[in-house]
Amino acid sequence: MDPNNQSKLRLSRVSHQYPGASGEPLVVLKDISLDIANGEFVTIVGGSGSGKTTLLRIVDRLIPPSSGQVLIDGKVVERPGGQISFVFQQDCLMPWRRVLGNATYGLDLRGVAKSDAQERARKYLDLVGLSGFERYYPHQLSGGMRQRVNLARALAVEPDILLMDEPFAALDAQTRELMQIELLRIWKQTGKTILFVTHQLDEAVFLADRVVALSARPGSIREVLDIDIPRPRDIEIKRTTHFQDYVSRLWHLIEADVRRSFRAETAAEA
Amino acid sequence: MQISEPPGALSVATRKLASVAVSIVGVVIVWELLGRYVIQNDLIFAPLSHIFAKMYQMAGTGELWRHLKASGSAFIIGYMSAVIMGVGFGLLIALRPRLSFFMEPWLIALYATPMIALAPIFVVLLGIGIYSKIAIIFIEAFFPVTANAALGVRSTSKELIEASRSFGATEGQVMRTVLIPYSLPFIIAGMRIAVARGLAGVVIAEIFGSVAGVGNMIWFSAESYDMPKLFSGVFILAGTSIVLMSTLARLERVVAPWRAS
Repeated sequence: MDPNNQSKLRLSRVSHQYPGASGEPLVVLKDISLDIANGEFVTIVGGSGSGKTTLLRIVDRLIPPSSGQVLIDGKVVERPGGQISFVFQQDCLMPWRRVLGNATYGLDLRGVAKSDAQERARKYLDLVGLSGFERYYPHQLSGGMRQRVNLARALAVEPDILLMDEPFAALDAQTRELMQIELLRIWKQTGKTILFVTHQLDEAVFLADRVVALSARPGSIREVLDIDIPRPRDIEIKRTTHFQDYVSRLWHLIEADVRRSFRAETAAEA
Repeated sequence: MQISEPPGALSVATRKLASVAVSIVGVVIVWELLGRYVIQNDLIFAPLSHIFAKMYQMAGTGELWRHLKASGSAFIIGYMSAVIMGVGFGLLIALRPRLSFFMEPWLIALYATPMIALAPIFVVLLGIGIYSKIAIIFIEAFFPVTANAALGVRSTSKELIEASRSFGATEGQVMRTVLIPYSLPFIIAGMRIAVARGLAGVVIAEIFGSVAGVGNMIWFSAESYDMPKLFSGVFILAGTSIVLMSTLARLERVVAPWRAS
């Protein structure tokens, strides 16, 4: 990254802790510093307990960090809903709104006139491949289609930055792969800066310019991996050894944490 | 080859409709025959034809309208104000837990006390007439609406609220665009319970103090063994309840289409 170029999104020593049950604070995130350039695609991986989702919620200012700062274009983020859109894990669509009504949701909140909002929503529904489904209710769509609506809703407010919290986790493997390709196409067409959390290592490598590997309890940056795979990428590259090398390097970075939480869970079950 | 139903088979919906029709026609016939040939005593039973003749006659003299007006106006005022205030109060206690702790013992006490025991107090306080009726109907209908509105708000998906906030929604916008639409089916379910309780309130209120009304009509005809008139009152209450409840059920499907399927 060009050091003279101001980063789009900067996390500066972000830490977060919850008041613990025993009186000792539970530290979930520790000293996370990260600079993300405009238009960059960064993915975050880590075992359970690495605070991935908490980190995204802090970046969106849904919760304030215990210490540290989040800056967009050099300015501190004060409240949610500005230049950032959040795409959630489950589809958080309003079941009483039709597809079009869901896509205009963020615009409605910002007081955009109905016809303008609908025009913009249609544009992004078209971009995610859902033209013709405007009058459907979410419960009439498949999981993959609902996540497309979720994405269109996030894009319709025309944010600079998209935060995505395991958006494809609930989809079946084939749909997930198609959605990854779709997301890369949309990213290329819109030029958004994307911060994407996932627990799937191949997804992290496939999508990203850089992958951030978090350690667990407390979550801190273990390593940042530059993914040197040319774009456009298609599904075939997942079969290459070059790609698999990245995946296994990531696995080694987080393996100890994953095994520890696995042991903790099996112990809890016993 | 095309797969189709075997000839002569009926669809599930048609079969259901047919069963309902057979059931209704069957009961009507049995009732009429029972009244005409088995219990030939109008002091304890009445065939349907006598009941409907009585209603027709009462409609002609204007007596029916007098009762309907007395009960109907009290029910509409009591029920509607219970729904409006119940929704408001339900939202309030769901959003302000401290207030709900403060109010809870009194709400529970009032809800738990049988209305038939409370009704005389209202009649003494508010007199014989529409005010005591409205109060009794209001209290009967208020609790189910309040409880369900609060339940709706409390069970609203946290993810939806967070999604709304992430788009920069203010507290008021979260309320208007998430909490209220999510709670609507709960509120309507509460309104359905409130119909049954409110109509029971009409009858209870009119035992203790009334000069007219469907409940009044039922009590007076019971005392004078006027079975056709008594059944007329019962049919009016049952018919009102059925119409209101099925309308609300339909409304629930309109505001919450995702719950229907």
